[in-house]
Amino acid sequence: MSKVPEVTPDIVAEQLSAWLDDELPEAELELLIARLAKNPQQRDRLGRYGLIGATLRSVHPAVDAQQLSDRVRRALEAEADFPAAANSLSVSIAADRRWQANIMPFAAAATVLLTLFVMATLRSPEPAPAVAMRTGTVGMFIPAAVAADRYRAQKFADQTLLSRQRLTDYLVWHGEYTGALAVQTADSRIVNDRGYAAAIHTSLGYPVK
Amino acid sequence: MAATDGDQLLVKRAQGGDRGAFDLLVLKYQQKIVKLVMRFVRDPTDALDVSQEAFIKAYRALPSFRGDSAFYTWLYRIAINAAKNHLAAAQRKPPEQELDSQDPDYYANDARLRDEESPEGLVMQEQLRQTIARAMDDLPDELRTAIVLREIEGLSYEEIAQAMDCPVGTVRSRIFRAREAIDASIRPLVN
Repeated sequence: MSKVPEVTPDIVAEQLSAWLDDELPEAELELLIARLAKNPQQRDRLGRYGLIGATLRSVHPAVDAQQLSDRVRRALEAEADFPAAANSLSVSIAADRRWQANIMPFAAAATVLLTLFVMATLRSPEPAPAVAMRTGTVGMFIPAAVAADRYRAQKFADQTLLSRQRLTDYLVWHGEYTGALAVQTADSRIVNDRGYAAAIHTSLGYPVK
Repeated sequence: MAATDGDQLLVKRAQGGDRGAFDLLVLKYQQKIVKLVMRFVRDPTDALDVSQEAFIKAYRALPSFRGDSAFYTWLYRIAINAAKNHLAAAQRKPPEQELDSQDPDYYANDARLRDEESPEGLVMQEQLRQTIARAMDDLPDELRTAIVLREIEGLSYEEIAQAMDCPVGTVRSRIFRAREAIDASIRPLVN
């Protein structure tokens, strides 16, 4: 909504006067409505203008009619509050349920794909560098074959931790949509990771921690 | 600007859920509707209740209002029906004259309304009338002429501009200033 420029009350009142006579251009009417929202006290003025006209036209204006607009407004507000709140709540709940129902198959599929991806990554580590590498802990050069083995083992350990963390994070964030099966899969995965890590370490000739 | 143009814009906005727009329509027509209802419902308090009911019914029925007739004509019918329903519920016979007159202004200016007012209401009306008459007397000629031509003679701004030989903008300003002067005098009474 465009910003309504600040105006003096007299301009608003003059627009009200013209509007009451059906002489206000449409462009000004839009502005007037916006300005009235900022100056609700102008409503009373409009009511009094109407009373003046009714008095001038006849000898018996309906003075009590001045309060009618307030009554109607309050009644509509009171009427709208409860149904509006109830409607918005039910719509919100329904929307949540629809959203959950829609996303459930995708979440399950994503869980399976992620698990498969992690397993595939763990079983085919990237090739070790063919050249000798400097180990950070002992600060000496070691043969390339040993370095490669150590690289694989270290890489495997890092990936295991990383994938376990990713999987845990994923299940924490998406657990409400994946259900009990996914939780079971995560537990199995963690157990299997430990067994698989031990097997790899043994095959590489390193003691199992 | 035709009378229905401004109403149509407000009706459209009210149909879109803008209660402020509907509030303006209530403010514009509350005098007419109350006076119309009071022609049928004797008690002023009941008349206000029925008028309120009519406006609320109109608000609820706004989605079905297609603009085939003027908003006030449509509102007028709703108010007449609300008054008839009130009389039926109270098991009282409506006035003998035709309730479904096609002239919305007919009842609004019915002089017999005065007989149904309470003594306090009549005193208030008289006080208001005298205050406004005094304020009118105090107005400069050009302001008094402009407001009389508008409110009593019912001329448009264009017609008033021709009659007073001045621009339409001047007419608008004069009518507004006249209303403001009168408003200042009745404000203590009404508030």
